[in-house]
Amino acid sequence: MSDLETFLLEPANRAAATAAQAVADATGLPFAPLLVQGPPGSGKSDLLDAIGTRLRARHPDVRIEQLGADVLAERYRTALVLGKGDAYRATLLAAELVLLDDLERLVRHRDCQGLVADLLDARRGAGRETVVATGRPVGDLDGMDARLARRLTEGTTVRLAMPGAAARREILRRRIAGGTRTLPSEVVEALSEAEFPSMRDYTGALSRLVAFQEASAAPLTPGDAMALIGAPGPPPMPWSTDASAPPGDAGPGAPAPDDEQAIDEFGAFLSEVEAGVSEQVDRWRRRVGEAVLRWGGEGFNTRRLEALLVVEGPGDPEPVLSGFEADVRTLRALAAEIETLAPDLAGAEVFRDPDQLGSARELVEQARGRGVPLSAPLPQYRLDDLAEGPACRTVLQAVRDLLAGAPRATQLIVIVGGPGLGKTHVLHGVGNALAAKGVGPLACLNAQAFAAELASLRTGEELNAWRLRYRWVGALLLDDVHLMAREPRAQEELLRLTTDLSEGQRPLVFTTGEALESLTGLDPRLLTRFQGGRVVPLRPPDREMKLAMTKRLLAGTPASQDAGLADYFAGRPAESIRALHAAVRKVLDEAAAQQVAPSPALAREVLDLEGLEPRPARRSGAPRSSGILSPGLGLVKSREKMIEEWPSVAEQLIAEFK
Amino acid sequence: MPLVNFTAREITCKLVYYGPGRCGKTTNLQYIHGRVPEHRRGNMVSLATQSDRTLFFDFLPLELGVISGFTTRFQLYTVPGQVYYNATRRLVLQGADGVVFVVDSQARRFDDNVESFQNLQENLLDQGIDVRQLPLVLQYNKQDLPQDLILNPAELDDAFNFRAVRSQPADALHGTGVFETLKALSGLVLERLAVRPPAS
Repeated sequence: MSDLETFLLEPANRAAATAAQAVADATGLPFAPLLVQGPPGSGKSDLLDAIGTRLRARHPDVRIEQLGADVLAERYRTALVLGKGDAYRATLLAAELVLLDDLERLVRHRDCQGLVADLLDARRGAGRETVVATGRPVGDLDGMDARLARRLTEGTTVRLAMPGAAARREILRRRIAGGTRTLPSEVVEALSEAEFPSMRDYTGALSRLVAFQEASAAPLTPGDAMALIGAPGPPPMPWSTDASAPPGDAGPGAPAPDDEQAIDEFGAFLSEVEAGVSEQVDRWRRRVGEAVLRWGGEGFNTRRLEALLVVEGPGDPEPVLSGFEADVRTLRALAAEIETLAPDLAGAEVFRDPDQLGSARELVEQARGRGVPLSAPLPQYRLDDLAEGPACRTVLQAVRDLLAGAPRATQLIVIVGGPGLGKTHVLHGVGNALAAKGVGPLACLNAQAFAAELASLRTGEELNAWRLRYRWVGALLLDDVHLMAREPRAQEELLRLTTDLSEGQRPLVFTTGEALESLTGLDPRLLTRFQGGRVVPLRPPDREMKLAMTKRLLAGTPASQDAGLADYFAGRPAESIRALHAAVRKVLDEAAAQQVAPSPALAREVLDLEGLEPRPARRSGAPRSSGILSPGLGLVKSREKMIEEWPSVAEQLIAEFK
Repeated sequence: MPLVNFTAREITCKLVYYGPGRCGKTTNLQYIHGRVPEHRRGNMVSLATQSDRTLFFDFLPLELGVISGFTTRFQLYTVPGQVYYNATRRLVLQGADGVVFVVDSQARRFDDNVESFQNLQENLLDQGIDVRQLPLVLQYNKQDLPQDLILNPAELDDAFNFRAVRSQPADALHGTGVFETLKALSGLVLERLAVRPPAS
């Protein structure tokens, strides 16, 4: 246990001890940071311990980060690799006190020097104290980041010196007193008078002597003790040698390798080389770490890269990194391809794992076998373009439920309606809406095209590929299924496909021009399946629909604001949307030909009076009648009323006039 | 480029001391040899004539230990300075990761320095190496001699250091500037540390 008071014993260290005490007592004195500088073994680490101990004694819950430069570097790099670099910075910043030891070792970790400089800045800004211990003056630390060196020297520097004999004696006595063992006081006195280069050597010698005394029956004498520990001569002064001065008079071959200066000179060189090599090697490690973060962040499995970081020292990262990147590129290309071929497979895990590139290739190969792209819905048909009215409200509600994914919405819709009522428009509109929702791929085609595709298949392999192609669709939309009535093979395949897709809860939308009940030639199983869906009728356009549609058709024409004309069309009978289109078009064309504005009068003239034109007499077939034929050529009339067919009011008037 | 063998986890750097005869290249190596702990150094191989002139070359391997998982070695070479040993110089220069050009600071050796410096550039060019691309440090040796006999570092910089590379005054006999030179060159070389496929 270190004690700040032991540092007060040496007059030369009192400034350092006082500053340390101020930090430990959290007096708020702005040292920012406190730099403790002293030769090896002078007690820097003990001083940091003492500060921490004293602060904890006063504030047990306080959070103190005490660590050496090597440990800091290791933790920081580990955090970087784990993607928690910022979190580690925040941890260091948040600690009430940071005690950083062995600053000189930071020259080997150049990548961490910026972290420490930032940390000092941030902690100073936050009013938190940092204590840094160094064995060498900051200015002598070659390879130290200039900004960090500046930050350190801007703080308060206190120096620790080797304690003198009196202080050593007291320190050693306290050590003895703090334990259960004893040592003759004259031995402690002699030990304190001996010359060791560092305080660590004194305490080490003390431990040896205590251990010897424990094993020895006779008390140790100072002479025996000194002989036992081989008390050396005066310690050399670290960094007192002038580096620029010639290292001696000895010639180049003469200097002994064990010469302290010689070792220092080589040591300094070695330290620089170590820093250089470490920096390069760590750069690779950082590269790997960054690659792990990058690709991991993009969702790729980075097991292969992480393996580089696990082994002691990096393997050659370049081939692994470049190979990994190449595999990722390939995976992306495969994923893009399968997005088109089979979107349902695009999210497969193998497309995120470069180690499963082979499996990804196999999957794409399988998707390629599904064949040519499917028929997409025609883009010009949008649900929004449909004019809504009572006649189509049931259909639109069914479609909206399907698109909304309503909980109990049936996934199979059958739209029943005569020609020209807009079944195809609704079908493709649903397809486009599904595509907009990300459902895909879509197969949206006419039943005849479906049957024709099937008829074109010659071999079993082609059939399998065709089936595979449809089996993965996101939705199937088939128009005019009544036209499959005489296509048993197509019906069989449609039944099979419908079963598969229904199990996958994929939308199925069919249209038919004939009511299901009246469909003949359709496989009863398929018919039953249709009837099990949501069968919705699409009726001839009602007035509301026709009005809306007419206004839309007249938009942009001279009659766009003619409410009377729109009302005329809305009130006029129309069997289908298509018929309404034709009527409006006809009136607009006529107006253009006559160079007049479209009007209700013109519309009546064009549409209603056209029936007054002479019509060819019926040449074939008997006139419609009640069903009872007259006995002769009109000579004898039956008692029943003869009914003539009057094509129009005008003809009737003319006939009566005759 | 320094060789990094990932299979053997070795880094090997070849540094060559180049310069005119008697400029102090071997003295540099001898000083380094004397300062390196025994367990860190190999035998210094020196083939010299009876008059202590380097006949072939000096070779001093330095084992710097395991750094970041890599056994790191420096191999220091000198070339024979005499003009007629150019073939040997070219041989030694092959595969060099960096060069220390040792300049004899004596004024009377100025022309020899120039000739040797040109010879270095020629020999590098013969090997397809642009001197500008190779880590190079100039060492102005014998700066301990009387000032009236030598050119000072500024004058030598004017003459030789037109590429503004690192230059280091030195007294190789007593060691001044020797390790500074070595550190400067090794720093440049290590910056270029790169991957090379392991030797088959």
